[in-house]
Amino acid sequence: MQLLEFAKTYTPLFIPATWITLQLTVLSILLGCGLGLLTAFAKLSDKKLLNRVADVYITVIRGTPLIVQLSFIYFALPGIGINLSAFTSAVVGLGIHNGAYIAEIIRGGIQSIDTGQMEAARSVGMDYGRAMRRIILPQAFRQIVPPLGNQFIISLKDSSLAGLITVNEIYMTSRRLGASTYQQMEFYLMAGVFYLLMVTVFSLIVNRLEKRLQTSSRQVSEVL
Amino acid sequence: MENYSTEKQMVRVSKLHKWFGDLHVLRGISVDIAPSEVVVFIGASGSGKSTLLRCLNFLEDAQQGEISFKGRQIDPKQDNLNRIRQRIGMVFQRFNLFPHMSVLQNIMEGPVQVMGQSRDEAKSEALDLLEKVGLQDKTDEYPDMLSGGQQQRVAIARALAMKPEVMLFDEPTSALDPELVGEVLEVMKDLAVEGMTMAVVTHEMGFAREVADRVVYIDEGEIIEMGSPDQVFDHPKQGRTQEFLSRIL
Amino acid sequence: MNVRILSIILTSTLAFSGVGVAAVSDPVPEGSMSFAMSGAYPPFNFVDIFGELQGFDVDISLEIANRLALEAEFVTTAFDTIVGGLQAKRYDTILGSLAITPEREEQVNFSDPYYTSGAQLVVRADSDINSPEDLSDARIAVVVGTTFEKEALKLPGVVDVVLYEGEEQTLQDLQIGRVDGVITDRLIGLYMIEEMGFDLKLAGDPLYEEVIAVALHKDSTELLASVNEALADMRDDGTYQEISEKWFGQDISY
Repeated sequence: MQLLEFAKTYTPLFIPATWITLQLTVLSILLGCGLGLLTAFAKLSDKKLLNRVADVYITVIRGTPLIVQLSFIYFALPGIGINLSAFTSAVVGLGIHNGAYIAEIIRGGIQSIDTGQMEAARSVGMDYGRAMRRIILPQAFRQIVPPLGNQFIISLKDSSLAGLITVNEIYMTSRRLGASTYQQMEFYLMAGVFYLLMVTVFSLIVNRLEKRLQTSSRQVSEVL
Repeated sequence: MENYSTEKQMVRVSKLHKWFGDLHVLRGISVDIAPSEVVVFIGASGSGKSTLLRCLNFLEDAQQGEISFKGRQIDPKQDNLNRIRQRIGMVFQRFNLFPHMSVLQNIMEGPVQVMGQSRDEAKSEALDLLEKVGLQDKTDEYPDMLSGGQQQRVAIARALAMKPEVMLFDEPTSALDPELVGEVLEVMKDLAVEGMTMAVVTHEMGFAREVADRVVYIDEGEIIEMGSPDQVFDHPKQGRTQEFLSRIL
Repeated sequence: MNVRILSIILTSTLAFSGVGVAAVSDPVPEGSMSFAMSGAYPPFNFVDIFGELQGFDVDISLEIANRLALEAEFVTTAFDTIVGGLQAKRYDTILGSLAITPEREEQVNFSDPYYTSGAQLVVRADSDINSPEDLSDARIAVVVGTTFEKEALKLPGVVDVVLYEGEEQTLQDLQIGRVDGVITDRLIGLYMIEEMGFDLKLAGDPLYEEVIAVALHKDSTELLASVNEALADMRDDGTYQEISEKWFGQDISY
């Protein structure tokens, strides 16, 4: 059928873009996890200054649209001498964006652990850091994985905005091909299908991970 | 108010005041605990007795007053509270076992992680402790498989693994079904007989009578009456003590 | 399965609407007529700091509407779907610097031209590139969906074509060195360099000539005739030249 031919012809053109989209997603989630962890602890700390900094970061990033953040990094920063490539800008922007949400996910996970756990850990003489690593985080991990998996999927879809700062990911590829062939609808549908496939695969992986964690937060403490 | 004025008390609390916001929870508490003494604190909910206990291992900070441990006053800002907590064991009302570790691992955790003991040594000592509390056949079980009484006995073993000089018990049997209370009290009795210094907050008057060297009645943040179990239970001097006892006995 | 059926239905509907039923014309609009443009193409059509749509295209539109005794309505929309919008009859005309191309002529009707320009290579002022032939290993910036993208890909010295949303972004990124050149409309290039103070220069002759006209739906044959009449009239009485001088300091007519 016509659509199958279409798919056959144009799918190869989407492969490099899909690879870029994957890279954007994975790298920005990793960056987001790092930032999120630091920010979560800053917020949980009893140093007021750290609390403030974390709050400002979270409020500003969650309160402004991602496209504004990306445009700022790529188009505005060169004005003050910070000139990042489009891909780097996208990873940094998406990473910072993810970080604000992941910080709250981690903080929520940690705070969902009964306070008695920290008290018991302190009572055998553990300092805060050790109590976190051995007792709290391994338990919190199980609470954190589902919303974190969700954030991964959101990040995958957010990566499409990188197209607006010239990164050749899936959305921009579908726009460019659609514009030059006047078959916008077919290409947007195709882009949609690609994203849907990726989201489905990721969701399956996350579900598997959640199931395995039902029984093994026990193993996590050995890793940490 | 009598205070034992022996030198080198295991624990000495002097004029302790604590506020939670505007709520004045501890109003000038002073009490000593001698080595190997078992002191039982009784009182209504909200009287401050649990708060007092939690101040003793610095889980709570008192705004005023002094706490000394074996003759040395502790300054929460300067001293290493983590090291101090190694010498004070605490057993909680809700056990607070680490659910992601087995019974054996729960007990070994402190010695290995905090005291740097080798795993083999820690394991062998942990097994001894489990035998002591009567749970040697539960070594590899996880806390959610145990009854409340069993969990609390593991919690006691976990606290004992750190070889503390004082054991604090914060309503250790209040969260247990009645038929499970006895097994925990038995373990506590054994500890007392072995000479452990213990501070116990409890409603179990039978235990207090049998095991306590001294009973302290606290109401609204103040020590109302203090004396031997016979004195306090059978011949209370204060009206409030009498009222309280008549309500619960 | 359902997506396939839906696609088939949608594509066939579009195909049908494209079939030339030339004899029947849509009636000329009453009261007002609408002009679509991207709004991101100074000095032809852009939004000024007060939020007002301005530009050469805007002035020509106003003049045409005036001569047809209609109110002018303006619609701004992304350039790469502007033709699709016309075919969906979301507006009456596209007067937004749309170039005549054979592909576009299959989709829409064009009026007589109202200016000509050409695709032009623009480089940094200190660059030693003086014509498209000098390009080698070059990254070129263009606005997505314009004819310039195809032209850029044809040049042998071009190794990568980077797509942007608007001209102000392409020229700015050229200035700061992210790309080696920009291909854009020659008049735009001139305007930007002189008016906005970019330190850029035009490199070589235009790559090709572009003829710009008003686009209308194939059904709007009556309106097309009226638009052509208006365009001819404003040239004859000098109004067109006035508008042209205002924006470019010269007569840019065909």
